[in-house]
Amino acid sequence: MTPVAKEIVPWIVLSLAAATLPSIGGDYIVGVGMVLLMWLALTQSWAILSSMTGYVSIGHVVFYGLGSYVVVVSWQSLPLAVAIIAAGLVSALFALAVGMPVLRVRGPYFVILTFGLAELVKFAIIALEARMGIASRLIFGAPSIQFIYYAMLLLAAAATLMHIVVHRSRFGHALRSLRENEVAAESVGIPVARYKLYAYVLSAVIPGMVGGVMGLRSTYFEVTQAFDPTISLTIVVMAVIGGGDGVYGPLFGVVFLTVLSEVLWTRAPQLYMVILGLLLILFMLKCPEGLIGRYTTWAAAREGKQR
Amino acid sequence: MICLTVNNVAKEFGGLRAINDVSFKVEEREILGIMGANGAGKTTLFGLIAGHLRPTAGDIRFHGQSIVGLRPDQICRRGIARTFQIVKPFGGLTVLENLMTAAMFGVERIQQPERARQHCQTILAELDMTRLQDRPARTLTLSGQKKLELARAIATGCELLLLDEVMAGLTPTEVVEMVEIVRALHHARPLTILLIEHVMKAFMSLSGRVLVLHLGRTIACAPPNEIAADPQVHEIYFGESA
Repeated sequence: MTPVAKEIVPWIVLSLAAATLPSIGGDYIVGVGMVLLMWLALTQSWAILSSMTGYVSIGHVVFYGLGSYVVVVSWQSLPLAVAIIAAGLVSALFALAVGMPVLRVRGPYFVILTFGLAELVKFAIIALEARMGIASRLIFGAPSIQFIYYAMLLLAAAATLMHIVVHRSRFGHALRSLRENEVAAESVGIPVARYKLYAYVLSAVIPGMVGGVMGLRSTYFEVTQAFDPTISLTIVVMAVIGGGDGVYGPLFGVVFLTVLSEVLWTRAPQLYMVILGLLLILFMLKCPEGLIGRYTTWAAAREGKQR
Repeated sequence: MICLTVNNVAKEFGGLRAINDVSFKVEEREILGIMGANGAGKTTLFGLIAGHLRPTAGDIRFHGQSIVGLRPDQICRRGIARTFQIVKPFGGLTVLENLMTAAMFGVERIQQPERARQHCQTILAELDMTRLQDRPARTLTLSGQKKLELARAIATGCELLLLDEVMAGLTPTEVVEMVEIVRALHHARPLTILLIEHVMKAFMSLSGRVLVLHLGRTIACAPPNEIAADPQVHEIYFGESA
């Protein structure tokens, strides 16, 4: 078996298990599962750019929002599958168009720029909608939660597969090298600007499609909700909590934070955000390398002891 | 055969002329040393050849073809590799992975990671670095990181190697070892080397010819023994004789 195939097997098992959930769980469980898969799809996509190249985006909601807008605008005039693919394409094209200038800046400047870009697009679309005299759009005949669950499962699986393939490829090796030192990377033959752009575009496709599907979840569409900056921030928090330099970090971060918020939300709704905030602070102080990062150092130390 | 031709090259930063009308030729398989005081323009010259800087005037030809205006990655793929005076390892990657990046993207462009791994392991063995191969690059000592810079440049499969102070900061024993490594690498493959070095003994013993830069201009280009006897060089390095 090739290394990639070996790495995919546990994910196939997980996907099959996840596929049985709607037949055994009620709407509540399916709802939680759907949210979890949504975050997994978003975080794995984000990681292809930000974990691999070190260019941290805190504006990934821009792709989600654009995808939402595409699907909602074309609702009932385009077949849904076509609209969702269009949502992914529009996000990718947007990333391609803005990528060159945006990826010229690094570190904190890049971080701020991604945030600003998402806000810019949000207000541009608000202005566009206002010009057309639309405050919010109602969505009639939206698909069932089961449908959305399966769509999210498909997208989460696709994003994970994409991350695995990139991570193991020659292209992924180049991304990791340029993360460590861009000048050295270009002087050993890596076309740095082009590769960063590819990573940016790849990390935009699935969030666009996720946004497209999620746009149909409620019965109305509102721009500020589709471009909510909290979505971008949650992605970053999940990736950081998961930690590590691979596909398992996002999984653990997403499961941990989704389950935790669900428990807190149902058990202590008044203190929900307070407790979550405190936990995150504690996490950053005590375990900045993330769950996977902590596990890797622990495993390495154990192996060292046994020798 | 001429490997590299530098023709009337100039580089200005704002009003400052860092390189002023410099011309020289390097034969294939030659080791050309470049010397000069701080600020003479040595590292700027490397930046111009490797494509990190673009000359204000003049032409640089590699095997007869102009490389002015090409990006550093394109120049690397043509066969020119460099090391950095201030080391730039891929710190979080292992030593072997550092080399693999070069083997997969330099001249060789080895597509399969497994073949790149084998190729790089032989280079590491050549430099006596095999036991370091799985160490993250940032955990190496300075001399280890300098050797890594050299190994990574070699792994690109280059024909022309630009060595920017690979011996600076090393102990005398390490310098001796580094001289032997450079010599062995040069012996084992058709390599042309440009060398910037302040460790004089090493520099003079390695260089076939020496180019002296002063305030961005070439003031001499001759074999080491002639350079050592040149009154103008003495004047620049030690001040006017009484």
